[in-house]
Amino acid sequence: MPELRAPRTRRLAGYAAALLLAAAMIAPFLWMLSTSLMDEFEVYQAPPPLLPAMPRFENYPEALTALPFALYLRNSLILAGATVVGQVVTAAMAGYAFARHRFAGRAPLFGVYLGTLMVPGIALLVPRFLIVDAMGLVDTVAGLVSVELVAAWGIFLMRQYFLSLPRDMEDAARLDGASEWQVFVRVALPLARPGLATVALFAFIDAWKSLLWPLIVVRSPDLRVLEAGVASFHGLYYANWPWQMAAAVAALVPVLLVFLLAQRAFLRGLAFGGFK
Amino acid sequence: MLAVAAIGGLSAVEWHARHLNRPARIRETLGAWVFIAPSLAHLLVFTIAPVAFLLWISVHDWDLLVAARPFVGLAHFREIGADPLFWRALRNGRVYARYVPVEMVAALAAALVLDQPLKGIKVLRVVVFLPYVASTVAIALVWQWLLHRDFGLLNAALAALHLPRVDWLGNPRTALPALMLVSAWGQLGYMMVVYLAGLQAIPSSLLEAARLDGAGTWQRFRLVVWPMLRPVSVYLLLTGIIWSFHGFTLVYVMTEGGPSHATDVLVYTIYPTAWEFRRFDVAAAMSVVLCALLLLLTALQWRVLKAEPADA
Repeated sequence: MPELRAPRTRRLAGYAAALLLAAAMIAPFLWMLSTSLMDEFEVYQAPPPLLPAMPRFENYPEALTALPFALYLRNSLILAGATVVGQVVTAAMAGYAFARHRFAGRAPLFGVYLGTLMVPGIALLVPRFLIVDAMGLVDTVAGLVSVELVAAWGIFLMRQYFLSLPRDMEDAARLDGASEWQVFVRVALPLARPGLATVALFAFIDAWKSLLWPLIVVRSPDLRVLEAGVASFHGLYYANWPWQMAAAVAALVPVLLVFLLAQRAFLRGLAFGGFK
Repeated sequence: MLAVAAIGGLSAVEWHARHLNRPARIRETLGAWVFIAPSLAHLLVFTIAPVAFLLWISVHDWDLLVAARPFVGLAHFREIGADPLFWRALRNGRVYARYVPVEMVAALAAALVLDQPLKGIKVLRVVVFLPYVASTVAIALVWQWLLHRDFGLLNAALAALHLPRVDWLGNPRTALPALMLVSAWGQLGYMMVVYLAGLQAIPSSLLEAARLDGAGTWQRFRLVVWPMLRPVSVYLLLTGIIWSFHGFTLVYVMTEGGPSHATDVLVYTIYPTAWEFRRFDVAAAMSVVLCALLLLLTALQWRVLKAEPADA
């Protein structure tokens, strides 16, 4: 509620409240960072020191080579990359078809897609695993990335997005003799870039944070994703909090970078009826 | 899957009868189905077939080592119904979901605070949103460290205030509330952003009119803002409860369901049942219960979204 001319004291109180809130949200991250630079035994004091006496940067190379984190990072990037590509491509194609084309079976098909949006994926772990197993894909990259390659919510978001765009340019391209595929790729897709960015971001972050499916479908350590790797690191080096915090920071940095670089698209997506 | 094929076939025939001799239309339909095909194939294999398969497994015996899969009716449902740990997980889920309304109040307060026209407020909004995008395992680890009985920052603060230390994650009475606290902290940013969008959608003329009528800040909130935010609130409440039943990572990393099953939730019970004890059929029966529960909540959510103008 914007006040026209808030009194000075009130403005200060407002600032204080906002800063306090932000501090409460960022404090655990700062504590993670601070602990990650402490000595292994330095942390065992009550009350704990807030800052390391001497920043110990070696924690990072030591912790991150105690388990093959570079490999985990690669696997997470593969999972996130495949999820982004799969969801963006299918959301763009199906969303475009639902928004722009009148075709036989559209209404019932749309109903089917809506229905799948209702089904909670978390309840489908058992049959999905058994299907992937029957395909011989357990413990493979294909099995790891398989289940989230398509997201119904992304298709709906893109349908809404295409509906909100004017059709004039597409029609003009058609008059100029462009094929349907050319209209889609050269005219419609560039205009829909903000919507695609939103789908890509959510896909990336969801894939990056996913733990349960990778735990279920992957057995060999070679295919472990970062989240699972950090979780098992936690079990192995339970007493070494600086190392654990260093691993946690390493798991955070890529996803935070992606978010900060693209937070505008992210927040716009949330505002754009884009809740999932 | 058959149903989809039947619908597709029928409507194709019906459509064909209406639009005979219109090759352009046929081309458009073919083209559209090509655009649809990849996602439809995936949905069929990984969503629609699994629903049917889930129901099938839940009423059959499924042992990886035995080829025979006899129909057993509701035997698996009776088994989980007689299992006190299953009921414990359901009850824990019901308690766990209660962080949602508390979190909503905090999120609304945060949105009001961050809605002020102050310099640098956008940066603070991003900061408040950070936990929502952060790696959940990392969040679980740092909170486990913050909640540590002997060396955690939280207990250090309590000690400084001459309050007794609490074994947050080691005590069956506090473990679940501790996880609820972390969940609320982790999702606050999302709810704040949705409330913020709701606040900014309230026409300022309405607030201005209330002010001219002599309404104070609190009255403007209670009589104008709160009623206008009602659809957003209902949406967030149901979404939050649905999410709360998805929670796995925090339990897996921080408590492993313990101490003495105090933090066992349904998903965390399904996981070992299927992948440790290899009882896929029993896990399927549990999943059917979870699925029914979540479908009910989702149906409720959709009814609300339909009834209210969906401008959240």
